[in-house]
Amino acid sequence: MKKQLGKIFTVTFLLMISIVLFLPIVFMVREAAPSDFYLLLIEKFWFYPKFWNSLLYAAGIGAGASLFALLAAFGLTKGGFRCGKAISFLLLLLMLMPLQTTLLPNYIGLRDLGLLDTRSALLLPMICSPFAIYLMCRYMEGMPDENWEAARLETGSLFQILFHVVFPQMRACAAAVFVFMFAEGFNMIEQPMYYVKQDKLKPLSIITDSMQAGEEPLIYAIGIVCMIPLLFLYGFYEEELEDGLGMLKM
Amino acid sequence: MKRKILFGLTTVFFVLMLAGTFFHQKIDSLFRIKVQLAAIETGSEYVSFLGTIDGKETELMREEQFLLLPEQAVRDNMVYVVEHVTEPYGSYDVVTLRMVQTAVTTDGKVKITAGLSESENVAAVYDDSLYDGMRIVVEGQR
Repeated sequence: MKKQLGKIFTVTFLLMISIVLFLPIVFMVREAAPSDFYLLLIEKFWFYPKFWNSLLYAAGIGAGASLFALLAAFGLTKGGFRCGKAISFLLLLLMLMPLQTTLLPNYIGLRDLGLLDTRSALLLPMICSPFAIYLMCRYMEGMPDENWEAARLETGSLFQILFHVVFPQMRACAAAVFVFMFAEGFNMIEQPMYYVKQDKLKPLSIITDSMQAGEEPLIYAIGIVCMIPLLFLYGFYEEELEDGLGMLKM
Repeated sequence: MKRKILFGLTTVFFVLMLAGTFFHQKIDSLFRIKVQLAAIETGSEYVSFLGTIDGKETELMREEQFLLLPEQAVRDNMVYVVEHVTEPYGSYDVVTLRMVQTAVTTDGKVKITAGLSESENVAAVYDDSLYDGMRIVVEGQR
C-alpha cells in the first residue's frame, strides 16, 4: 500500500513537472502566427546569417567538446596520472560553479590572447567544458582495462589505440556529449553578449538584443524554428543518449 | 527506420533553410507590388519679380527650376517617393508618401516646384493599393 502510494506520488509529481516544462512550448506554438513565420523566413534579412552562426557555433562546440573531452578523459583515466582523481574532483567543482563566475576569467583570458570579438571567443571556452570531460571520465572509468591492455600489446601507437579501441567504445558517450554541448552552444546567451561586439558574429540566441521595435512577436516563431534542429538531434541520438547516460548511472 | 525518417526530415529542414538563405529575397519579391518609376523631366522658366536697383523699383527676371511628373503620379499634391533602404544584411525598396508643391498641368505633365529633387525616384502611378512605408519591388528603370 505504501509502495503504491509512493508510485502514485512519483507519477503525479513527474506528470506535473512534464506539464510545467511543456507549457512554454504550447504557449510558444499558440502565440506564433503564420504571418510571423513568413516575416521571419522571407522578409527579415538578419534571420539566416544568425541562424547559420548559431548552427556553426553549436556544431563546432559539440564536435570540439566531444573530441577534447575524449582526449582529456583518456589521459586522466588511462594515462596513469597521479593527480587524475584530484583533477576529476576539480572538474566536478568547476562544473558546479555557475557560468557567471567563469565569465570574467574567460573574458580576461580571451582579451589577453587577442581573441575577443572573434568566433574563437565563443568556441574555445565552450569546447573546454568541464561537464563534457567529467562525463567522459566517468564513462571511461567503466571501460574494462583488459581491452586497453590487449591493444597495447598489439601496437605501441597511441593514436591507433585511440581510434580503433577507445573511440568505438566511447561512441555512445561521445554522442551524448555532442548532443548536450550542441544544445548548450545553440542556446548560449551570456558568452556572445560579452565576448563579441560585431553583429555579424552574434548568434540567434541573443536576437532580442538587436531587435527593432515591433519585431517582438517574432520571438515565438524564432523559438519554434530553433527548436527543430535540436528536436531532430535528440531524436536522432536518442539511443546514444540513453546508453551514454545509463552507463553513467551504473 | 526512425533514424531514416529523422535523417530525411533533417535533410529537408536544412535544404529549406539553405534555399531560404539564397532565395528568400527572390521569393519575397514574388509577392510584392511591382512599381514602375516615373520619368522625371526637368525644366526651367524665367519668372519676373520686382526688385530695387539704385533706389528704383525695377522689374527683374530670375530663372526657376522645376520638375515635370506624369499626371498619374500625383494626386492631391501627394506623390509616392521610392526609397532604397539598406539594412545590415540586405536592402529593399519602400514607398513613402510625400507632399509636393505643384503648379500648372500641361500635356499630361504636372509641374513640381518644391518638395522633390531630380535625383529622387517617384512611383509612376499613384496607386490606391500603396501605403506609406510599404515594401515594394521596382520594375524597370527610370
